[in-house]
Amino acid sequence: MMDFTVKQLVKDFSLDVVAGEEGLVKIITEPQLSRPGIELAGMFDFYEHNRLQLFGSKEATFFKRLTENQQVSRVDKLFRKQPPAFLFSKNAEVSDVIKNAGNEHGICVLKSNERTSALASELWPYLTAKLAQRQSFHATLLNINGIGVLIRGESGIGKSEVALELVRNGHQLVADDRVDLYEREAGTLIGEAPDVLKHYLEIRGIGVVDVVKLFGAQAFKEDQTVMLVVDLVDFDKQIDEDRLGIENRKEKLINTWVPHAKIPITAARSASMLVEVAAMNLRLKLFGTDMAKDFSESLNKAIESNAKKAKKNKGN
Amino acid sequence: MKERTFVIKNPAGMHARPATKLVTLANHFKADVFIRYEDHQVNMKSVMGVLSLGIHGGSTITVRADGDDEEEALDAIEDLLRDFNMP
Repeated sequence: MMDFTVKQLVKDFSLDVVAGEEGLVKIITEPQLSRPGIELAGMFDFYEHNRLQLFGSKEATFFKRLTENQQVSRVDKLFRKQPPAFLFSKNAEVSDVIKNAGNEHGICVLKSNERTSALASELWPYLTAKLAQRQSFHATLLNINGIGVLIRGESGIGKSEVALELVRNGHQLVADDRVDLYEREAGTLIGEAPDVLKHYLEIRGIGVVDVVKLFGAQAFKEDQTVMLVVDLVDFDKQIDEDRLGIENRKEKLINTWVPHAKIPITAARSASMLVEVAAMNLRLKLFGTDMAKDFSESLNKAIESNAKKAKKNKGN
Repeated sequence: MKERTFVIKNPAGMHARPATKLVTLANHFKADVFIRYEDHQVNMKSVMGVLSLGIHGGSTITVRADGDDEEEALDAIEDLLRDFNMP
């Protein structure tokens, strides 16, 4: 995984670098934020110096009330531990003492146009996504009516062709051929395309296709929660498959269990239609309707009524 | 062509799980395999066919296999039915 630098944060959040430009190369490793109010009051026992330090107007105002000596010594303590950066929200004034410390220690002092609470709530999902472990999978990821479907299968089985047909039918491509997955939180698996491959599908006989140019902006989605894994496999009579779909099979990706379907492919079966129906089936299940279970229950009723009939006939 | 008759002992009858296992097994063989229950006979390689019978516990079924590996097919089916506490 690539290191995540302060420079990237500055770019993505359009921040101003007020001081300590040398610190742009520093690496952020923790997704949590620290608001160092208690440290400014003089207690450093719990100083979370590995985290990005966020100053709101609360911290900035309190800072102004300190004596000059206190200001210098506490800021020195804050910077000496080499946190990744200091970030000031819209209404937090950056004092000269802090600017000087930033330049002296080579740590960025950054300024945002956003208010503290907005900034904090945006930073958390952004940093967890950026810092999560990513794993690449040989697969294709689509958004089919809100269901993220990860399509796997051997090279040449037709994953990209399935994707092309589904996108033509109004669904969205997320990534083709290589999907990078990470867990935004436990149990939530997010997939996205590597930057170079974004928008692109490779179709044998045609070449590389940009789905946004071909089908319009709605044909692509930046990232998507993976909710279903579909394996496209060669048709094989002997395969041990779940013929009725009553087993609710799951597959573990990274640390998350995801519903799993195995779809055998033959010339007579439209793979893209089958993938679409698999997604619809899962959607129904999420709405509380399990068609296979309903079928199985009505079957059991039929067996029961046959048994009663047989008993009655014996009695006669 | 060979036939064997079984009495389904399991009181739950031929519900979805054993039926799908049985059909998967039947598909392993080249022989045509049929299952008869009361007045109906269906292809044992078809899930919906077998389930349509609604075979209940205590009933009698006849399995008929026709092909080179008919003997093996019937043996395997007998074993599987025994695993399910069926025959």
